Amino acid sequence: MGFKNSARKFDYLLFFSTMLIIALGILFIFSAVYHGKITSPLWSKQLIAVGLGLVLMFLAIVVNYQIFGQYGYYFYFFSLISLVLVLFLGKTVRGAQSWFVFSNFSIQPSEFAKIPFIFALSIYLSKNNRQIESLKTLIVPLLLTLIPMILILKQPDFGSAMMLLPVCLVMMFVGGAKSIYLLSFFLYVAITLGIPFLITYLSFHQDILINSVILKFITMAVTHWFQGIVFILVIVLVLAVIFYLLINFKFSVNFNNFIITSLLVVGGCISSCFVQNFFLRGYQKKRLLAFLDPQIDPLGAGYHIIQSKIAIGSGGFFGKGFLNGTQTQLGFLPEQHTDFILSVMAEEWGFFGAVLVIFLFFIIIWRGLKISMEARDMFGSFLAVGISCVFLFYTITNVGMVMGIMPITGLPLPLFSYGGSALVSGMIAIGLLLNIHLRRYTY
Amino acid sequence: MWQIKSNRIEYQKFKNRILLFLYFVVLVFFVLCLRLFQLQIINKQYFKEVSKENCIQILFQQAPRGAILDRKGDILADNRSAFSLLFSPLNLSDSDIEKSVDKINNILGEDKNKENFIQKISFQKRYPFTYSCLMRNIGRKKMFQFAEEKPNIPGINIQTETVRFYPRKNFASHVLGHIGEINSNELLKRRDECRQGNVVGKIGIEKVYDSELRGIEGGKQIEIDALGRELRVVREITPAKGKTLMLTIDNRLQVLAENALGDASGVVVILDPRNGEVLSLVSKPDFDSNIFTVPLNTKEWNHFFSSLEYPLLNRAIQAQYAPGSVFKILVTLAALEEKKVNLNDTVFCKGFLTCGREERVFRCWKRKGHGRQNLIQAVANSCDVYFYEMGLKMGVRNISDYARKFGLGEKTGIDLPSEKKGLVPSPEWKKKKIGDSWFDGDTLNFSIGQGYLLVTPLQMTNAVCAVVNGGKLYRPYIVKKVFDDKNNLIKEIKPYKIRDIKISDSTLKFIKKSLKETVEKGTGRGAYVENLSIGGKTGTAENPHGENHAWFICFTPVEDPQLVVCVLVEHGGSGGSVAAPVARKILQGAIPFLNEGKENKDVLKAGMENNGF
Repeated sequence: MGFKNSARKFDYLLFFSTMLIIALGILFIFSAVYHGKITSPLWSKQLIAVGLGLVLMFLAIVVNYQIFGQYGYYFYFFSLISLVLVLFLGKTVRGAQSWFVFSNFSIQPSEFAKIPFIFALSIYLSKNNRQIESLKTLIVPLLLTLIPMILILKQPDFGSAMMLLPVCLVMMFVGGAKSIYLLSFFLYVAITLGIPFLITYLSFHQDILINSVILKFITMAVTHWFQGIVFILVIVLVLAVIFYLLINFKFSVNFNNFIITSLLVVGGCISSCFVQNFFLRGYQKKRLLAFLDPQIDPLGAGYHIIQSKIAIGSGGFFGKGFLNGTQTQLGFLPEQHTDFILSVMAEEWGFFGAVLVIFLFFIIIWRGLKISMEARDMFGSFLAVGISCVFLFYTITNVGMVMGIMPITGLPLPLFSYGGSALVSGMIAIGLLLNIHLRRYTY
Repeated sequence: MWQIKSNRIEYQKFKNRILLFLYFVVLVFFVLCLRLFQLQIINKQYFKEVSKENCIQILFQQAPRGAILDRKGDILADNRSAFSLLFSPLNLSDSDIEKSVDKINNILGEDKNKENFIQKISFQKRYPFTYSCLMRNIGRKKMFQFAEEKPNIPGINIQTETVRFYPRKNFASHVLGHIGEINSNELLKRRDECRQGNVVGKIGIEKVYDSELRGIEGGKQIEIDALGRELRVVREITPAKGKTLMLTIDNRLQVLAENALGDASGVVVILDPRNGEVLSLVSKPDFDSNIFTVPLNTKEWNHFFSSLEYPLLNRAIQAQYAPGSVFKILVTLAALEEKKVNLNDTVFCKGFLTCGREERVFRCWKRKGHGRQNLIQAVANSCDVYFYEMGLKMGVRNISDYARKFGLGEKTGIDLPSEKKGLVPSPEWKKKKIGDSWFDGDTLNFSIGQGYLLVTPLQMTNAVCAVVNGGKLYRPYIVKKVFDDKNNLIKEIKPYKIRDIKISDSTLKFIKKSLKETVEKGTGRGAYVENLSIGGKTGTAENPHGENHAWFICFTPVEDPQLVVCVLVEHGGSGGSVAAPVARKILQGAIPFLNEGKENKDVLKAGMENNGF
């Protein structure tokens, strides 16, 4: 593959969008830590990460990505090992034990684990594509997802762990898995997570709880054996009635569907009890729910949401000007150089700036999906879809979070927020996309 | 475009699903942009204002309260500098804070506040660069100790603030009143004037004239960051000191009166009958107004609010007593004016009178009886039987009409808060409240000032003023002049005459003569002062709950009265033996101040200069 040839096939739009996002990111990290004088070295540290990222990105472009198709599982195992190690050797920052600390820099293995995870899924899905419609084929990808997920949850980093699930679901979906399976799974997860959140939300809104016998009963059911069993029996009974009616009205539903649906719902209910009682801690649930009602956690997450919305809203169309945002410069905005970096931009450059960034992310995801359609092999296609998904879900959760329509999960805005590990792994991912694009006609 | 032919169908399906997913992506980004539009374009104005409020903080500075002076310009209430100990957690570690707290305790020398301090400090940690007040009013000595140790105790700061100060402590405390932090009820009533945390007058002049005394609050608008650090001052308004009040109180007479009453619980009121000025007003037990400038501790609280002594009660206007024989002044006047008695009418006092079908016995205070008495003797000896006869002749209506004319049963309207209005009974009142008809026996009691009749000492004094000045009922008042913060006179309160009461010269002359006789030869001999013409009347108010209250009201000089002095000693016993000697002490001391005339401007000015105005 000659250089000239490559230069013609290179995806300049994706590359320059990425670099523009990174440049804007550094600009606003500078603003976020400025506070009237240049004191913090954070923005220059980010610059070093960009340098390192460029090198690795170059490598990710040059090496034929199909190598990862062959050795991807090794990367996956290596990443799992690093995730286990960090639980023993890692340093705890902001309550999560997720950092390897070296003399003057630190690495967050969960950020890097995303790429091997996509490798493994892509390998499996492309090799077993013919059997994808059977339920058995879906078990392995779910296991491949669950293992790193549980390890990351252990740190605990709820946000990052949860991000793996939709990526897996979307990859299975585009791979051709039956929608009914994915929907069922989605239903299961929704029940598992939905009930604990419902209960937490209700515990802050006793007025609703008092007026509703059913909700009160659900609240009891999660912590009491007897009520729990009664609740499950009632659900099964309701489902049975529904199916009976459907069959009576000559819908073509068979008894197996009834069994499967019941198992799903009952299983979801049971696992929700585990989530409620063992996995999520009170403050985590509060944090995740605060976006619905900042009053739930007025001094913690609620405060963050309120201040972030004020920052964004007061920016107006053209913003208050670079380094002129009062919310940012006077320190009202929390986590301003990491999770809430977009609020800084929205305050200082206004609607114009925020839409620009959102649009750049759209370009990345759109190009990613386009590249997956043009890839020369299935592995490449899955890889590109996976990477696009990671960017998509991180962007949605972060942007949604700062605007107060998504829970506070503590996820950074990829390529934009401060954080070397996330930046480098993001740049490697973009490198891989460029790589797949570059080799689309190579046989 | 996977390059294996057999994959064609799969590829098509893959492509379709990718496209489907792409629609989802577009939709999601559209929603994000919509939300952004909502926040930044639609609700822009709202968030702009909120962000402005977020970083602008207003620090209020309470204005120094205006001073209160007596009629000669002596200071009764003013401000002094006090030192508050402030603490800020800054960026200190918990152990450093602990150490600082220990050192602070060492200097303050009391351990019990430690918990309190730590609680206050931990509360403050959210805004680590703002200061909270650990302790107010630490005293000059402690202040210097802290100032010396300041480098060794990180986080502390000393603030100077002005605190209300009453240099004469208990002096005229019921007139001056005291201050305290505003409570929620007061806040509700004065919402446009006061803020939470303001200091306002709670009783006395401090309360009634609070709006004048408090001045105009100043403040700073400062820009702060999220930690509460002050960045710059946007606007500053310096507070304006409150207005200065000059009272009618004469501090020399007040001192005399307070000393004369001593430790007894009771009241002394001295009025100027020529205009209604209150020259002194003593109510005992009293209190030190300074105590209330800092929050009370439990012991003080119990003393002031739940002890049976009721030290905060201004007995001169808030306590109601039967006037006893002092009331006979008004009864005599009424009888003479209504021509129900002649100066020469005599009654034989055998020590009691029987009345009604049941032949109830009404006794004279002198069990043996006074023998034959004419009117002047009856007044001087306070013969009850004579007044029983006279009261029966007049009837209840005449007596209560006159009592009301002289301001009994209604508030005098003095500029002090929570005045009681007393009670003048009548047959209608008795029917309504007690559900019984009026008997002659009630009239008998009424005519010697007992029974249902209730008056406040101030009312009774004021009524006597109106008698001796020939029928001019003034409204007693305490604040005479108001000065602004540059000592310009901005308001002078003129005497206010409530009504004129017709008293014939002969009646007035007789009353004065008989009251002078009382002091010279009668029951009021205890008040006799040589070379001073005094008229007065004793009274012993029957008290069903204990020892009788002793009354004495007198005026001097008889010919042209300048002072009316009322003494009431609670549970003192008989007026002649207990209250009259108190009055004598006051009158003796007051001799030099008589005929001083209206104070001239020079005296006033000199007084003010002496006090550093």
